[in-house]
Amino acid sequence: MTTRRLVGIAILITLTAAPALAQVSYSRLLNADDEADAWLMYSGNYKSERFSRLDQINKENVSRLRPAWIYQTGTTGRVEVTPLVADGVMYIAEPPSTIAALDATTGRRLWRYDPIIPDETLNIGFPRTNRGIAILGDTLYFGTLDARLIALDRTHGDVRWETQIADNAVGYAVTAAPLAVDGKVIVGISGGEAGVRGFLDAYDAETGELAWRWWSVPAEGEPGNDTWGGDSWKTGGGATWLTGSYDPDLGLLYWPIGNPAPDWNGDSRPGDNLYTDSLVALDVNTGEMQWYFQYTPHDVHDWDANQIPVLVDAEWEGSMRKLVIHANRNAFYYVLDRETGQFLRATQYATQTWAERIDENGRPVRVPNMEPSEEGTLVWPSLAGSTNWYSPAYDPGRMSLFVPTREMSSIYFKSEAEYEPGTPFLGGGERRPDADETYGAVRALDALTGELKWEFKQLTPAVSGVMATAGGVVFSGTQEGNLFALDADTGEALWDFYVGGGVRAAPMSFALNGQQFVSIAAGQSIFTFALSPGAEAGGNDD
Amino acid sequence: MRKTGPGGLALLAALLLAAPAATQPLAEASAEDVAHGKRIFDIHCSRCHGLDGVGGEGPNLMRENLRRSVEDDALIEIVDDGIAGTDMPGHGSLNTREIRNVAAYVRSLGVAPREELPGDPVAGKELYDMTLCSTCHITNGEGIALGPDLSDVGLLRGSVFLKESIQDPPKVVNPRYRTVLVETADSRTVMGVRTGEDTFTIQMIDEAGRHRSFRKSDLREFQLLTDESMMMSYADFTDAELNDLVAYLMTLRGPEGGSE
Repeated sequence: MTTRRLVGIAILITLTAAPALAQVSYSRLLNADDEADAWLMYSGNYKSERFSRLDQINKENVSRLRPAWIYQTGTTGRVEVTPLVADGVMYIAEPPSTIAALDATTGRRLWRYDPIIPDETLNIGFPRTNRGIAILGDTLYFGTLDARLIALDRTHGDVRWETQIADNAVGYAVTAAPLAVDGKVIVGISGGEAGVRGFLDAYDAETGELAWRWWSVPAEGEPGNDTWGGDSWKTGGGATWLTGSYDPDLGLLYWPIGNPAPDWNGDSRPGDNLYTDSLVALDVNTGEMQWYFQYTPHDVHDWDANQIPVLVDAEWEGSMRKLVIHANRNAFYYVLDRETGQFLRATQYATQTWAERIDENGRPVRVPNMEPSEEGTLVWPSLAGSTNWYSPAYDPGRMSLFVPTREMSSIYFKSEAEYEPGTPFLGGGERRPDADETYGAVRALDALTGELKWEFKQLTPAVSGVMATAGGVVFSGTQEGNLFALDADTGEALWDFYVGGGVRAAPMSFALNGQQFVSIAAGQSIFTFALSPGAEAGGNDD
Repeated sequence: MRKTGPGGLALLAALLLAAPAATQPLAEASAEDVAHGKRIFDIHCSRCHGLDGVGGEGPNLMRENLRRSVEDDALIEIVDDGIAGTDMPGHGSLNTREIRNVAAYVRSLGVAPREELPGDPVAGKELYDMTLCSTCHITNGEGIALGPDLSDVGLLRGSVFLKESIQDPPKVVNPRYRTVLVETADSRTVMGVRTGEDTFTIQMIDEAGRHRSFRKSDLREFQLLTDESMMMSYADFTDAELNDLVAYLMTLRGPEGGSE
């Protein structure tokens, strides 16, 4: 037998024996909490806790966190991705819609896939960026700025399938990470500021065929359409631009819905404008809506509900309940029953001047004359809200939700709004008041009451997500470029590092060969940190 | 060329239909459009540019030639997107027609008569030198850069704003030149002009002109002053002196403007 034949047989055996990388099965996704070394989905698990079960980095040693490696994308756009890590490989998205695989040990790039986004691709109301990827089996799923959903083989980044999910020429785009469930990929769309009609899609993970589509703005004849005037539902917004959560036992997806369009002039859309500014629970198999809860009916301040809903099982008034908690852009923190959508509680967690209170059904009792006006109306919170898409983190042991918070007001203006496809459909906007009163914070809220446990103040309103860990450490960043670690019990700053670029993403954590890492996107790079060797040796040289 | 979807065609059609209005020079806008533009200007622009565009914290716009906006398209773009690296913000809240009408109103200001200033610029220059303004300000390359460069302050600011700056500096101080006072752990007090700050650190130029950097957690005290400023108040100037000094400052219009 010749050497060449031997090599041939060896290759054949390798190819038929096993794929190069292990499969990320649905059961691995279901049990993500048991696999603390990996980070398998946007928010860490289906409950969207963004809580790492790793505890090597803890309150005592976090001050010795040092850069392990830095990956430079070489792009000029904002990197806002939460990386995934599976089986020693990190997957990231670079602006606008490029996917790269990195060796998680060194940060060296293994491959990069650029779907080529035409320059004229519209991004109305959001940056030209991509916030994350989903993984299932040996495939990565991601959306593009020009509204495609693409499946890539994760070994080399080869395309398995690609599907156009909507028309970018009228403003549709994908910036959010898809969510992979059993055999399906759930993906939301951006474009509310262009007056698109929102929807949430589910695609067959194998074939890319559309499994179902749920429209966030009901059509004529459908329940809820009477909460819109005339044809306003056709350009009603309700984008689904942030990744939702999933309860596999109930078979329900929990997806936050965006603002109505036009944003600041509600004259053409009298009514509550369902299901904008709502949380909806959808049957994962059919896309049928099981319930909805609307936080801000007939919104005229752009306080969409695109913040991460976190699933919590806890005792509520004497019995165990399945809850969903949500720190909303409108300055209130909500607790709902996630089986029924029943409103349980709302607590104000940031300064607001628009609502006297939230009534017993969860509906705001509004302060009069807080709508945008031609002369300008001063309202708290600002257009970007008391929080935004920046992920909160939930520590299940402490039952604390750590919320990136913005203390800021706006002068809201109203102007004419005329719909023209593929152009901004706004009807007003904001002017920022003098800067001195504004600041940011990470606030630790009691998950059941929403009451403040502590806050860590930041110079400017938060733009970064938060991660909590089993080491009792909470990580976040600032728009000035600080990455920092806080004591989960007190909010005391334990460590900070200047990364030199605004942090507009959320941290994540993973481990390799027994070493814990923390990664975050900032500026145009990915920064990965680990404890310095001094700490590994258990030294106590403080 | 990229294939155009139905939306793209609609957009193209809309652009073609809009073409005649979009190419009409701003100077030929109707009185109605200019009046509409003035209404929006008064709400959104006058806070910095002054009522009637006489200038204030932002440039005087009652000038025939706006440096960055010789072409109409450039002016419209500035109203829409702002000017990066300056305090001029974009105006995403305004629609295309509103932006165009504001721009048309700004063009109409260019033919308005120039503001008459009561002071004597020559006497003002003498006062500038005598008061040693150049120990903190650069003018045409001369002086020390603790406070803002004044070489084109006559273009960038209005006379009312300048008067106020001289009489009551903290009231109008630019956030880029905020005064900061720190007390270090060993009880030394340092005052300076803030040059940088984040959640954890602060940087400044101290009174001796040196760069300093502190970690906030190392400081005993740290405050941004709101009722005090590194710039001395010159409230004791007579009206005539103040007018002279402002008249001089208003002649500072950068290299091309020349200082008469």
